[in-house]
Amino acid sequence: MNKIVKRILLLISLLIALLIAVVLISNLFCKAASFDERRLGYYENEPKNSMDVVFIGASEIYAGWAPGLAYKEYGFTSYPYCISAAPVTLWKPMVQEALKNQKPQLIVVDPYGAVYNDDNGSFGLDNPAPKYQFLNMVPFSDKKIKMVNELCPNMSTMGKMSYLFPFVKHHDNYVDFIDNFKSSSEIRQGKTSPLKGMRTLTEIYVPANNTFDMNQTGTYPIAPAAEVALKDFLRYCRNEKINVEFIHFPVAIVEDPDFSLINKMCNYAGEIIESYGYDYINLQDRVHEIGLSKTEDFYQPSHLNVKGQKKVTRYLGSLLTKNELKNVRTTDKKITSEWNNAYNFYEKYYKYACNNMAKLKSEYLQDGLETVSKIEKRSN
Amino acid sequence: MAITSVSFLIFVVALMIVYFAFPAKKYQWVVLLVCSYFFYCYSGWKFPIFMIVTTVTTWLAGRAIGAKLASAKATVKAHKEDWSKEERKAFKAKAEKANRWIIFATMLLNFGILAFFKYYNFFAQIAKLPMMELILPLGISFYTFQSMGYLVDVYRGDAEAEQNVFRFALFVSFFPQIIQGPISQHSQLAHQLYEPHKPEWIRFKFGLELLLWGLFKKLVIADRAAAAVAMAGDYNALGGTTLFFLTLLYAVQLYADFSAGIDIIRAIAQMLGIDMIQNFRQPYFSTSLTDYWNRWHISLGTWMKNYIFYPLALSGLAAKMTASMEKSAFGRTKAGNHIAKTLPGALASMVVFIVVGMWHGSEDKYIMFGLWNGMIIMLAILLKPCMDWLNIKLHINVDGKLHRHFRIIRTWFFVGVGYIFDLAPSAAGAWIMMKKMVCDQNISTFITQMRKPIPLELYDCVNIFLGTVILFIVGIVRERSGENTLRVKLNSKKTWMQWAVVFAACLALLLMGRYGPGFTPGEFAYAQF
Repeated sequence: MNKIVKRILLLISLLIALLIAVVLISNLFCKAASFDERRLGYYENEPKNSMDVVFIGASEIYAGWAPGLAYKEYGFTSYPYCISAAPVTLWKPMVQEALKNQKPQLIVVDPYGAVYNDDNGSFGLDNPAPKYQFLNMVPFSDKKIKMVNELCPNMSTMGKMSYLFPFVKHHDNYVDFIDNFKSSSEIRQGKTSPLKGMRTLTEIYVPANNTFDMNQTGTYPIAPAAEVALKDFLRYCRNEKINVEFIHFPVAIVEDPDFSLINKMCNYAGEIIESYGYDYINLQDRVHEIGLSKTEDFYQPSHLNVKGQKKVTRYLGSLLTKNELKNVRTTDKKITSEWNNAYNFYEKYYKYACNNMAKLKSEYLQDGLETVSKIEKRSN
Repeated sequence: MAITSVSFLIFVVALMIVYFAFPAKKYQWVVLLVCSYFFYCYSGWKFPIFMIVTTVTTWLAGRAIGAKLASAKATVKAHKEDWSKEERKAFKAKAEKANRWIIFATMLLNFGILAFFKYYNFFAQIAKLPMMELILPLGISFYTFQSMGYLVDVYRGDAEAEQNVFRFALFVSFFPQIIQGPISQHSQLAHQLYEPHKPEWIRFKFGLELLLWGLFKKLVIADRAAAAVAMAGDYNALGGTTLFFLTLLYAVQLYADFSAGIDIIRAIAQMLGIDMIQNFRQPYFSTSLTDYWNRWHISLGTWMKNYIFYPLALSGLAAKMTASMEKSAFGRTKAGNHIAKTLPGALASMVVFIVVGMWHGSEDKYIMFGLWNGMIIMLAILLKPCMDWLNIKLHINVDGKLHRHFRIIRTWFFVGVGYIFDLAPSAAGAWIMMKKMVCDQNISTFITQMRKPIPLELYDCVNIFLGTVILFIVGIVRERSGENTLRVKLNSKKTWMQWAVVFAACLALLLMGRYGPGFTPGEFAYAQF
């Protein structure tokens, strides 16, 4: 063969071999690195069309909602398809992915994601972290390219590549490759998680004062970019005829001036939501009805601990069953067995967490092999 | 356009395609000229004016000097029979004097431009003049030194005056070297730039391997260590052990960064068919500070040697100094005789290093850096007989391995002190850092500070460590067998093995390199000079 042709073929082979290696490493070692990614990954493995309710939003939901308990007490299946600090700009693509294999009767969104600042900080609309967590678990496709272009319109090519290919962002963190491989193996094998997306910290938050500050009525404008994104999402839901309800999970409002506006900003978002014909419920207004205690039921100012989670789940579960959900009790044996296991695991999870809180032992319980085996071991 | 960026890679690939496909091979160099100016203008469209001024004034001066030399030579030859030796000598001296004025004026203009950008604000602060926001034009130090070196070479007859201004413009602006050198000599580089080149597989392969090596050093070691090294500026908040560690890290980072840039530049030039001079030769294996400066930034050292050191050390004034010292009573002693012979060289070395210090910048720390290096080298020259006598008295085998290792470690110490001046924000800060390193050693503080505030994650430390080990191993191989040994050895292996090594190198770079979101391609450290 002509030497030049041979050399060109060698070069092309090298490039192809590198590409294959990168794709393999990306899929085997760079995914499911975080609990958020694992939550989304396990959701994809849930039996098709088995979800009655899907929650969309941020950490307030997966801290505050217990799917196993809701199934046991109200008979409906649910899943928090949520990511830490997920802003309103992520809701639409999250709903699109959530509805890929599921046809829930109801989607519940916490409007907290609409009160973020118009920046790329930890509570910013343009915070890259939740975008990475979400997009890392979306398979490469035209749809993903479109999502990246919509979520990062002004980003450089290298920046967009890092969203399309997890390898670009996570390549040098090979110290964690083995752990990532183990976690993603479980997900690749089609397994589901008994936690059903829950996450908690076994701690009790000690606030500066004991009472919920109820002078949080009224509204406060959200960032203009957030308002635009919220309206875009509402139009999308209307066009796609998605049954969605907006429910703000309660927080332990602190005296910090930044935090004190959150409820008012949620209410502002709520007004916009209601103007589009959707329901908005602010559980912050119902903390006494739910029976929440500021000194017992939170592990952080905006996150319920397992005790608060139980109360909110019972209250909200009852509300949803009365007003929204119809004929939810599935008879599919595989699904009922799966969800009975989920409830059994929830009881162990609850006991484990309470035990830790009593002993003042603080640890995170979240999707992953380590947490599940720890809880199973202690319960045995 | 950072030379580790994707856009630069695309630029180089496009250049190579156009360069090798250019139909008029005689004018292939024009492609390089256009691309060099395109690259330069990309960094800022206002800056080329300074490079054009240097190019045109140096070219004109070179032509004038060349013409005068040729004319003087022809005149002397014509009057070989009717002029006496003194008349011929006087005529040559007159021509040389005119040439020296041309050189002086050209250097005054061009070094003046450089000095203005580097030192105006320093002197403005002292003289209470208004400060200016001055951005150093890209590569101004390098192309100014390179051009002035060319001018002196023409004057000395070591280089032919370039007649074509555009060809000379390419010599000044050749883009791979414009960021941080090497400072090339006209006789070595110019003809390569103007000759036509065909694509050669072996050059492409060697260039690719060198490019990968350069990228490895830059992305795996240098850019990772940079953020941690920058913390040394806040020396008051850091313990002595931490500062010591950061100085060691800086030594690794600076070498990896600077040599990486040179390797990338040489790799690109090699693929184009042009061989640029080596600028590093395993400097951390040096056995003395003089040896170190023969191995570190070799092109700058060569420039200083050729255009400052030798003219001073071999000048008439130096000869007079030696002669008058030798005649004195002290000069007639053994020690005095040695000092008489070596003092001009020692003083010339001091001058060289003061200039090197000033070349880095106007801050006092750079002057101290220059003085420190100059002082050590000066003392080494002057006290050599004492050291030799001591070695004999103590029965030290200076040719043995142990002594060699001692000299290497001793050199690290001298170099390290110089690095502290470089690292510190000021000379006063450098003294405080040194004091802390001696008096404030605390391992537990170091361990705490390594987590915070030093911004190194576990995988950063792993990558830097592995990268440094690889750098060290390659350094040993090169020290023992020469620079090209690894590439030549690899080339002798079977094709599949060669490609396996290249594949592994690419994968190592992809896995260990610092790139991606949140990382802008790091500026090369020497680009600031």
